[in-house]
Amino acid sequence: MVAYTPDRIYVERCVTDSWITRNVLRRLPSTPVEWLEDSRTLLSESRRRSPSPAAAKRSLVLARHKGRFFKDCPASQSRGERNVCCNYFVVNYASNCHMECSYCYLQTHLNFPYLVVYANHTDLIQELETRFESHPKTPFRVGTGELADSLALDPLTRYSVPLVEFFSGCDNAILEFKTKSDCVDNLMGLDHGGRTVVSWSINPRAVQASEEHRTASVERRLKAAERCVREGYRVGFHLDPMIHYSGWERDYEDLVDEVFRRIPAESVSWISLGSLRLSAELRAFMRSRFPRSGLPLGELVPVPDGKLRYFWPIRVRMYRSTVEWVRTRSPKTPVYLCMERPGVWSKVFAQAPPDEKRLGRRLAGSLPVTAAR
Amino acid sequence: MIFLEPPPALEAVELARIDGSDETLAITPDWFPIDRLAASVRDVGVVTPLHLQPAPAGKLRIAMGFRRYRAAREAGLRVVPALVWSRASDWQLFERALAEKAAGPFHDLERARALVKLREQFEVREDALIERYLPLLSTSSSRYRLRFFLRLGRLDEAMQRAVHSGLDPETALRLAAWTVAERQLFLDLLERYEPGRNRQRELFDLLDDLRSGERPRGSGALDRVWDASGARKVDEDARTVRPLRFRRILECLHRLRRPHLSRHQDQYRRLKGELKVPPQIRLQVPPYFEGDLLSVSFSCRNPAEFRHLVGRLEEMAVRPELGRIFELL
Repeated sequence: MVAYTPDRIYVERCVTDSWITRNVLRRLPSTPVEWLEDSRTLLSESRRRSPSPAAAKRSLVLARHKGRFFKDCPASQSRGERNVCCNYFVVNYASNCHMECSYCYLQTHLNFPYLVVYANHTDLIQELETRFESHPKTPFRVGTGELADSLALDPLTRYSVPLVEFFSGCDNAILEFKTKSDCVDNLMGLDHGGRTVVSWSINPRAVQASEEHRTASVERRLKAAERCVREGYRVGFHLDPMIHYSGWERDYEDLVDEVFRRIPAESVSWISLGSLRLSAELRAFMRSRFPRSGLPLGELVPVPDGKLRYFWPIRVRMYRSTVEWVRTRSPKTPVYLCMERPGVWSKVFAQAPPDEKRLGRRLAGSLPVTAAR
Repeated sequence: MIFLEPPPALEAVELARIDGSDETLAITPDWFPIDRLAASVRDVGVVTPLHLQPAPAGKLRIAMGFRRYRAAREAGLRVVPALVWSRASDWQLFERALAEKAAGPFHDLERARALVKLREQFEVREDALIERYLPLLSTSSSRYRLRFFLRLGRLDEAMQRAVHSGLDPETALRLAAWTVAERQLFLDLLERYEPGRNRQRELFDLLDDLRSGERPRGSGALDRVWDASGARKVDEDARTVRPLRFRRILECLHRLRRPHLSRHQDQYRRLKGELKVPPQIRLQVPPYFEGDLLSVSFSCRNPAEFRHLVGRLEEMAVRPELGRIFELL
């Protein structure tokens, strides 16, 4: 991964004393810092200047998150006939990502173009504590990779440390870091209590090289996963977005094979599968920003949740094959589909999950969560 | 609009004194047709005076009234009424021209040309263009709109002429990335089939996706797509009427662009045909077969017809073709 070094840091005065802010400033002593009362003033500036996405991300904003950190995963909004939800929750302690995956939805999703880290991590932990304690019988799977890569900025922020330590003491919750980086140094030596899963979004090497710019190579991601396993962490893999191209079968089978050759099956908490999905706006954006990318030229059709996806027989074939490749190497590893409708689940697994909560519990159940299952 | 000098007196100016080639302040492209204006000038002469500025060698250049000048020349007039501004700056005159033009309808190409001039010739900042000039040009105030017009205004004349003849401006901006030969193929198709804007976009999107996916990239890609899809054959089939030919061309391109979906659609049509669904019963699959529900509806006029259709539905329900239709969802 190309390490992130911002050109400028904006700090809201109210997070001056935050541990996260101090970490960042200590690690970037020569980067110019500007102090702000409220980072929202930058929004109007960004609208006026309209910087390119890459230029905007060279500014790092350390701000206080003013709303709730803890939310339902966005897939839950289209649950039911449109998509099966796996009862996942997200916390967003950062927004935007310095890596440049051509297909990344953040490119058209965020209206604030700068890279933001919410430095009030104590508020976040307080909010999680209240939530978990008020629902002691609910097992929570909580991810941090919705609006940002979970670990790419960790060398600067060390955000992972208080989170892993907090979750290690939670009986009914597990934490998942999702990343395309290899930034796992800060996870070493922590008392994680088996309640943190470190997971990687992976694609075959050819896709990584052509579409996932500035990310860690597949080799480095797998090396980082091996380090985490040696440290006693469970790991996960998200083959998402799967890309359909000539020769995909061989490449994805090789990838699955490599994962299970290098990572013991009992250390893999889950594997999720998802296919390329683009909004029409993102597709147009990709065509102009990444003109050499072939992804928008795939056989994509509009689906009821408003996105463009591969026509369903293509998706089903990709999922079925991959499930088969996983099953032959590790029959017990849970495999699930991300953001897919019940009909596709049925075609891949013979049936859709009858109860989404049960699906969430089954996935959480691969970890030492003691809440009622 | 503030002018530092008092308005000049109206005078009759000889056409020969006017240098019409200096288009520094022109907003309307000089190739815009002036047929109606020319006819009116032939009938009643130039009614609204031209606004002129002194130019070197005793000549005058036009600040406002380029089209009236052309019409007057076409009509063979020797003198035209005019106001000659001796001290007003280019900037003041251009602003005034914009304000006067804003009272009437603007063509997108005129908006585009005005904004390019404001940006490049008068070095107006983008913020000011967005906040002050886009509203003056009767269009929404956003950076996106500004960029759209600036790009439109920088298209070459051939492309601008195509926009003037009905090419969708958004499509024109994307078409500009094609080679000259490819552009010509597309523009010829538009001329031949005269599709509306939605159909233009559909045709362009299909061709653009297919040529972008062609390997090797570069010249010849569109030609290969045109041949491989079968569109060339359809296009050259003069026996078929034009609207039908155009529809078939789109079908050919759709098949090449989405082969799996096309096979699915063929299968569905075949199975539906084999089921012999009566016209009163309508089967409807979800768009792009993305969904689990097949919709069935029917209409009838009386209980006997109702019973008859229910009977037909019962017959259809046990046919293997119906099962295969469900497998397509």
